[in-house]
Amino acid sequence: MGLVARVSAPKTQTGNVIRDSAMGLVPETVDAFALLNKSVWKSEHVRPAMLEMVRLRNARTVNCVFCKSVRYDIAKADGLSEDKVDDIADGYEDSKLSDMEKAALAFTDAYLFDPKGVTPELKARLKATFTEAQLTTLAVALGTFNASSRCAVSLGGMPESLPIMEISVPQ
Amino acid sequence: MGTVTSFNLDRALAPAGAIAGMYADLSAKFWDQPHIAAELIELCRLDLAVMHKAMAEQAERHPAAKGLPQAKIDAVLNENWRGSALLSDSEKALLDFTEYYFMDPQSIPDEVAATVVGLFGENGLVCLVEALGFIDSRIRLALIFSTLSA
Repeated sequence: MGLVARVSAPKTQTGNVIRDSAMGLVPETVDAFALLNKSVWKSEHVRPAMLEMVRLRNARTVNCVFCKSVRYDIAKADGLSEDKVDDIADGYEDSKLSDMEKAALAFTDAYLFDPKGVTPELKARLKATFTEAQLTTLAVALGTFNASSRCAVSLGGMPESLPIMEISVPQ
Repeated sequence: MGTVTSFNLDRALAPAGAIAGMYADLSAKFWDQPHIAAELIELCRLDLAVMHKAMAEQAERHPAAKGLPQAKIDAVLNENWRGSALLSDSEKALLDFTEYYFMDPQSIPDEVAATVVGLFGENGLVCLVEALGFIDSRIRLALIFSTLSA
Protein backbone atom coordinates (compact mmCIF):
# COMPACT_ATOMS: atom_id res chain seq x y z
CA MET A 1 0.00 0.00 0.00
CA GLY A 2 1.28 3.49 -0.82
CA LEU A 3 2.16 4.94 2.57
CA VAL A 4 2.85 8.42 1.24
CA ALA A 5 0.08 10.49 -0.32
CA ARG A 6 0.53 10.56 -4.10
CA VAL A 7 -1.23 13.89 -4.59
CA SER A 8 -1.76 17.08 -2.59
CA ALA A 9 -5.05 18.37 -1.27
CA PRO A 10 -6.47 21.47 -2.98
CA LYS A 11 -5.01 24.71 -1.66
CA THR A 12 -8.43 26.25 -1.08
CA GLN A 13 -10.40 24.66 1.76
CA THR A 14 -14.19 24.86 1.74
CA GLY A 15 -15.14 22.93 4.88
CA ASN A 16 -16.60 20.08 2.79
CA VAL A 17 -14.47 16.95 3.25
CA ILE A 18 -15.03 15.80 -0.32
CA ARG A 19 -14.23 19.10 -1.99
CA ASP A 20 -11.24 19.59 0.36
CA SER A 21 -9.85 16.13 -0.42
CA ALA A 22 -7.82 15.21 -3.47
CA MET A 23 -11.10 14.86 -5.34
CA GLY A 24 -11.23 18.63 -5.34
CA LEU A 25 -8.36 18.53 -7.84
CA VAL A 26 -10.89 17.53 -10.50
CA PRO A 27 -13.41 20.36 -10.47
CA GLU A 28 -15.20 18.90 -13.48
CA THR A 29 -16.48 15.98 -11.39
CA VAL A 30 -16.35 16.96 -7.73
CA ASP A 31 -19.76 18.63 -7.57
CA ALA A 32 -21.47 15.65 -9.20
CA PHE A 33 -19.64 13.30 -6.87
CA ALA A 34 -20.58 15.30 -3.76
CA LEU A 35 -24.22 15.40 -4.89
CA LEU A 36 -24.36 11.66 -5.50
CA ASN A 37 -22.56 10.85 -2.26
CA LYS A 38 -24.99 12.78 -0.10
CA SER A 39 -28.07 11.76 -2.07
CA VAL A 40 -27.63 8.00 -1.67
CA TRP A 41 -28.18 8.49 2.06
CA LYS A 42 -31.52 10.20 1.49
CA SER A 43 -33.07 7.22 -0.27
CA GLU A 44 -36.71 6.49 0.44
CA HIS A 45 -36.09 2.84 -0.48
CA VAL A 46 -33.27 1.67 1.81
CA ARG A 47 -32.70 2.68 5.41
CA PRO A 48 -29.39 4.34 6.39
CA ALA A 49 -28.41 1.54 8.77
CA MET A 50 -28.53 -1.00 5.96
CA LEU A 51 -26.62 1.28 3.58
CA GLU A 52 -23.98 1.70 6.28
CA MET A 53 -23.63 -2.08 6.63
CA VAL A 54 -23.08 -2.35 2.88
CA ARG A 55 -20.61 0.53 2.98
CA LEU A 56 -18.65 -1.04 5.82
CA ARG A 57 -18.59 -4.49 4.19
CA ASN A 58 -17.10 -2.81 1.12
CA ALA A 59 -14.64 -0.78 3.21
CA ARG A 60 -13.51 -3.92 5.00
CA THR A 61 -12.90 -5.76 1.73
CA VAL A 62 -11.14 -2.90 -0.04
CA ASN A 63 -9.25 -2.20 3.20
CA CYS A 64 -9.88 1.52 3.09
CA VAL A 65 -8.79 2.54 6.58
CA PHE A 66 -10.54 5.90 6.39
CA CYS A 67 -13.79 4.30 5.26
CA LYS A 68 -13.60 1.59 7.93
CA SER A 69 -13.17 4.13 10.71
CA VAL A 70 -16.19 6.24 9.79
CA ARG A 71 -19.66 5.76 11.21
CA TYR A 72 -22.33 8.02 9.73
CA ASP A 73 -24.49 9.55 12.40
CA ILE A 74 -27.70 8.95 10.45
CA ALA A 75 -26.94 5.22 10.42
CA LYS A 76 -26.29 5.20 14.16
CA ALA A 77 -29.53 7.09 14.69
CA ASP A 78 -31.24 4.47 12.54
CA GLY A 79 -30.09 1.71 14.87
CA LEU A 80 -26.66 0.65 13.64
CA SER A 81 -24.73 -0.61 16.68
CA GLU A 82 -21.11 -1.75 16.94
CA ASP A 83 -22.46 -5.25 17.64
CA LYS A 84 -24.06 -5.16 14.21
CA VAL A 85 -20.87 -3.84 12.68
CA ASP A 86 -19.03 -6.80 14.21
CA ASP A 87 -21.52 -9.12 12.50
CA ILE A 88 -20.53 -7.71 9.08
CA ALA A 89 -17.36 -9.79 9.22
CA ASP A 90 -16.96 -13.04 7.28
CA GLY A 91 -19.45 -15.52 8.68
CA TYR A 92 -22.30 -12.99 8.66
CA GLU A 93 -24.64 -15.65 7.25
CA ASP A 94 -24.49 -17.38 10.64
CA SER A 95 -24.90 -14.17 12.63
CA LYS A 96 -28.02 -12.73 14.23
CA LEU A 97 -28.45 -10.21 11.44
CA SER A 98 -31.88 -10.18 9.78
CA ASP A 99 -32.55 -12.05 6.52
CA MET A 100 -32.73 -8.72 4.68
CA GLU A 101 -29.40 -7.56 6.12
CA LYS A 102 -27.75 -10.85 5.19
CA ALA A 103 -29.15 -10.62 1.66
CA ALA A 104 -27.78 -7.08 1.30
CA LEU A 105 -24.34 -8.32 2.34
CA ALA A 106 -24.57 -11.27 -0.05
CA PHE A 107 -25.34 -8.81 -2.85
CA THR A 108 -22.33 -6.76 -1.75
CA ASP A 109 -20.09 -9.82 -1.85
CA ALA A 110 -21.31 -10.76 -5.32
CA TYR A 111 -20.36 -7.28 -6.52
CA LEU A 112 -16.98 -7.36 -4.78
CA PHE A 113 -15.83 -10.90 -5.45
CA ASP A 114 -17.66 -12.40 -8.43
CA PRO A 115 -20.10 -10.15 -10.30
CA LYS A 116 -20.34 -12.71 -13.13
CA GLY A 117 -21.12 -15.50 -10.73
CA VAL A 118 -24.58 -14.65 -9.40
CA THR A 119 -26.11 -18.06 -8.77
CA PRO A 120 -29.75 -18.93 -9.38
CA GLU A 121 -30.08 -19.26 -5.61
CA LEU A 122 -28.75 -15.76 -4.99
CA LYS A 123 -30.90 -14.33 -7.78
CA ALA A 124 -34.00 -15.91 -6.24
CA ARG A 125 -33.00 -14.71 -2.79
CA LEU A 126 -32.48 -11.12 -3.93
CA LYS A 127 -35.75 -11.04 -5.86
CA ALA A 128 -37.63 -12.50 -2.91
CA THR A 129 -36.09 -10.07 -0.44
CA PHE A 130 -35.93 -6.73 -2.22
CA THR A 131 -38.16 -4.67 -4.45
CA GLU A 132 -36.63 -3.42 -7.69
CA ALA A 133 -36.30 0.03 -6.15
CA GLN A 134 -34.51 -1.34 -3.10
CA LEU A 135 -32.11 -3.50 -5.08
CA THR A 136 -31.19 -0.78 -7.55
CA THR A 137 -30.73 1.68 -4.69
CA LEU A 138 -28.34 -0.75 -3.03
CA ALA A 139 -26.57 -1.10 -6.39
CA VAL A 140 -26.06 2.64 -6.93
CA ALA A 141 -24.96 3.11 -3.32
CA LEU A 142 -22.53 0.20 -3.45
CA GLY A 143 -21.07 1.36 -6.77
CA THR A 144 -20.53 4.79 -5.24
CA PHE A 145 -19.02 3.45 -2.00
CA ASN A 146 -16.73 1.08 -3.88
CA ALA A 147 -15.47 3.71 -6.33
CA SER A 148 -14.81 6.13 -3.44
CA SER A 149 -12.94 3.66 -1.30
CA ARG A 150 -10.82 2.39 -4.16
CA CYS A 151 -10.05 5.99 -5.06
CA ALA A 152 -8.90 6.71 -1.50
CA VAL A 153 -6.65 3.64 -1.40
CA SER A 154 -5.22 4.31 -4.86
CA LEU A 155 -4.13 7.81 -3.92
CA GLY A 156 -1.95 6.54 -1.06
CA GLY A 157 -1.26 8.09 2.30
CA MET A 158 -3.55 5.69 4.12
CA PRO A 159 -2.66 5.25 7.81
CA GLU A 160 -2.43 1.72 9.19
CA SER A 161 -5.35 2.30 11.52
CA LEU A 162 -7.69 4.99 12.79
CA PRO A 163 -10.12 5.16 15.70
CA ILE A 164 -13.83 4.99 14.99
CA MET A 165 -15.15 8.45 14.06
CA GLU A 166 -18.83 9.37 14.02
CA ILE A 167 -19.47 12.03 11.40
CA SER A 168 -22.30 13.47 9.36
CA VAL A 169 -22.67 12.82 5.65
CA PRO A 170 -20.88 15.70 3.87
CA GLN A 171 -23.45 18.17 2.52
CA MET B 1 -33.77 -6.42 -20.64
CA GLY B 2 -31.20 -9.03 -21.71
CA THR B 3 -27.48 -8.39 -21.63
CA VAL B 4 -26.53 -5.35 -19.61
CA THR B 5 -23.30 -3.43 -20.18
CA SER B 6 -22.03 -0.15 -18.80
CA PHE B 7 -23.70 1.44 -21.85
CA ASN B 8 -27.29 0.48 -21.00
CA LEU B 9 -26.88 0.00 -17.24
CA ASP B 10 -28.70 3.21 -16.40
CA ARG B 11 -31.96 1.77 -17.70
CA ALA B 12 -31.58 -1.18 -15.34
CA LEU B 13 -30.86 1.12 -12.39
CA ALA B 14 -33.73 3.53 -13.11
CA PRO B 15 -36.03 2.13 -10.38
CA ALA B 16 -33.64 3.66 -7.83
CA GLY B 17 -34.98 7.07 -8.81
CA ALA B 18 -33.00 10.31 -8.73
CA ILE B 19 -29.73 8.77 -7.54
CA ALA B 20 -29.62 6.57 -10.65
CA GLY B 21 -29.60 9.73 -12.75
CA MET B 22 -26.89 11.27 -10.58
CA TYR B 23 -24.77 8.13 -10.95
CA ALA B 24 -25.22 8.30 -14.73
CA ASP B 25 -24.41 12.01 -14.84
CA LEU B 26 -21.19 11.57 -12.87
CA SER B 27 -20.13 8.56 -14.94
CA ALA B 28 -20.60 10.57 -18.14
CA LYS B 29 -18.31 13.36 -16.96
CA PHE B 30 -15.19 11.20 -17.17
CA TRP B 31 -15.58 11.12 -20.94
CA ASP B 32 -15.47 14.90 -21.22
CA GLN B 33 -12.80 16.40 -18.99
CA PRO B 34 -9.45 18.05 -19.77
CA HIS B 35 -7.10 15.76 -17.82
CA ILE B 36 -7.13 12.45 -19.70
CA ALA B 37 -8.39 12.12 -23.28
CA ALA B 38 -11.49 10.05 -23.89
CA GLU B 39 -9.51 7.72 -26.16
CA LEU B 40 -7.25 6.86 -23.23
CA ILE B 41 -10.19 6.38 -20.88
CA GLU B 42 -11.64 4.03 -23.49
CA LEU B 43 -8.47 1.93 -23.54
CA CYS B 44 -8.73 1.65 -19.75
CA ARG B 45 -12.43 0.69 -19.98
CA LEU B 46 -11.63 -2.04 -22.48
CA ASP B 47 -8.80 -3.28 -20.27
CA LEU B 48 -11.17 -3.50 -17.29
CA ALA B 49 -13.66 -5.35 -19.48
CA VAL B 50 -10.97 -7.84 -20.47
CA MET B 51 -9.98 -8.44 -16.86
CA HIS B 52 -13.63 -8.91 -15.88
CA LYS B 53 -14.02 -11.30 -18.85
CA ALA B 54 -17.05 -9.18 -19.73
CA MET B 55 -17.53 -10.11 -23.40
CA ALA B 56 -20.50 -7.84 -24.14
CA GLU B 57 -18.65 -4.93 -22.56
CA GLN B 58 -15.61 -5.64 -24.75
CA ALA B 59 -17.80 -5.41 -27.85
CA GLU B 60 -18.97 -1.88 -27.01
CA ARG B 61 -17.21 1.28 -28.25
CA HIS B 62 -17.66 4.59 -26.48
CA PRO B 63 -18.78 7.34 -28.89
CA ALA B 64 -16.51 9.88 -27.21
CA ALA B 65 -13.49 7.85 -28.34
CA LYS B 66 -14.28 7.50 -32.03
CA GLY B 67 -10.74 8.40 -33.02
CA LEU B 68 -9.19 5.42 -31.27
CA PRO B 69 -7.45 3.20 -33.87
CA GLN B 70 -8.74 -0.36 -34.08
CA ALA B 71 -5.18 -1.70 -33.81
CA LYS B 72 -4.85 -0.19 -30.33
CA ILE B 73 -8.21 -1.61 -29.32
CA ASP B 74 -7.10 -5.02 -30.56
CA ALA B 75 -3.86 -4.82 -28.60
CA VAL B 76 -5.84 -4.32 -25.40
CA LEU B 77 -8.50 -6.90 -26.20
CA ASN B 78 -5.84 -9.43 -27.17
CA GLU B 79 -3.87 -8.66 -24.00
CA ASN B 80 -0.63 -7.94 -25.87
CA TRP B 81 -0.50 -4.18 -25.35
CA ARG B 82 2.67 -4.35 -23.22
CA GLY B 83 4.78 -5.52 -26.13
CA SER B 84 2.98 -3.50 -28.76
CA ALA B 85 4.83 -0.69 -30.53
CA LEU B 86 1.46 0.81 -31.43
CA LEU B 87 0.79 2.11 -27.95
CA SER B 88 2.56 5.16 -26.57
CA ASP B 89 4.34 5.30 -23.23
CA SER B 90 1.42 7.35 -21.89
CA GLU B 91 -1.10 4.75 -22.95
CA LYS B 92 0.98 1.95 -21.46
CA ALA B 93 1.38 3.87 -18.19
CA LEU B 94 -2.39 4.19 -17.85
CA LEU B 95 -3.00 0.54 -18.70
CA ASP B 96 -0.30 -0.58 -16.28
CA PHE B 97 -1.98 1.46 -13.53
CA THR B 98 -5.39 0.11 -14.52
CA GLU B 99 -4.29 -3.49 -14.14
CA TYR B 100 -2.87 -2.94 -10.66
CA TYR B 101 -6.05 -1.02 -9.78
CA PHE B 102 -8.20 -3.92 -10.94
CA MET B 103 -6.27 -6.52 -8.97
CA ASP B 104 -6.12 -4.48 -5.77
CA PRO B 105 -5.61 -0.72 -5.33
CA GLN B 106 -3.32 -1.49 -2.39
CA SER B 107 -0.94 -3.21 -4.82
CA ILE B 108 -0.30 -0.12 -6.97
CA PRO B 109 3.45 0.52 -6.77
CA ASP B 110 4.57 4.06 -5.99
CA GLU B 111 6.59 4.21 -9.21
CA VAL B 112 3.55 3.26 -11.32
CA ALA B 113 1.50 6.03 -9.72
CA ALA B 114 4.43 8.44 -10.02
CA THR B 115 4.69 7.72 -13.74
CA VAL B 116 1.03 8.68 -14.19
CA VAL B 117 1.57 11.86 -12.18
CA GLY B 118 4.66 12.67 -14.28
CA LEU B 119 2.68 12.32 -17.50
CA PHE B 120 -0.74 13.66 -16.51
CA GLY B 121 -0.18 15.64 -13.31
CA GLU B 122 -1.78 15.15 -9.91
CA ASN B 123 -5.14 16.16 -11.35
CA GLY B 124 -4.72 13.48 -13.97
CA LEU B 125 -4.05 10.76 -11.40
CA VAL B 126 -7.12 11.74 -9.37
CA CYS B 127 -9.23 11.86 -12.53
CA LEU B 128 -7.91 8.45 -13.54
CA VAL B 129 -8.73 6.74 -10.24
CA GLU B 130 -12.18 8.32 -10.18
CA ALA B 131 -12.85 7.23 -13.76
CA LEU B 132 -11.59 3.71 -13.10
CA GLY B 133 -13.74 3.56 -10.00
CA PHE B 134 -16.95 4.44 -11.76
CA ILE B 135 -16.24 2.49 -14.94
CA ASP B 136 -15.32 -0.57 -12.89
CA SER B 137 -18.44 -0.17 -10.76
CA ARG B 138 -20.59 0.06 -13.89
CA ILE B 139 -19.07 -3.09 -15.37
CA ARG B 140 -19.57 -4.98 -12.09
CA LEU B 141 -23.19 -3.85 -11.79
CA ALA B 142 -23.82 -4.60 -15.47
CA LEU B 143 -22.59 -8.16 -15.00
CA ILE B 144 -24.83 -8.63 -11.97
CA PHE B 145 -27.91 -7.12 -13.61
CA SER B 146 -27.36 -9.18 -16.75
CA THR B 147 -27.96 -12.23 -14.59
CA LEU B 148 -30.74 -10.69 -12.54
CA SER B 149 -32.66 -9.54 -15.59
CA ALA B 150 -32.21 -12.77 -17.58
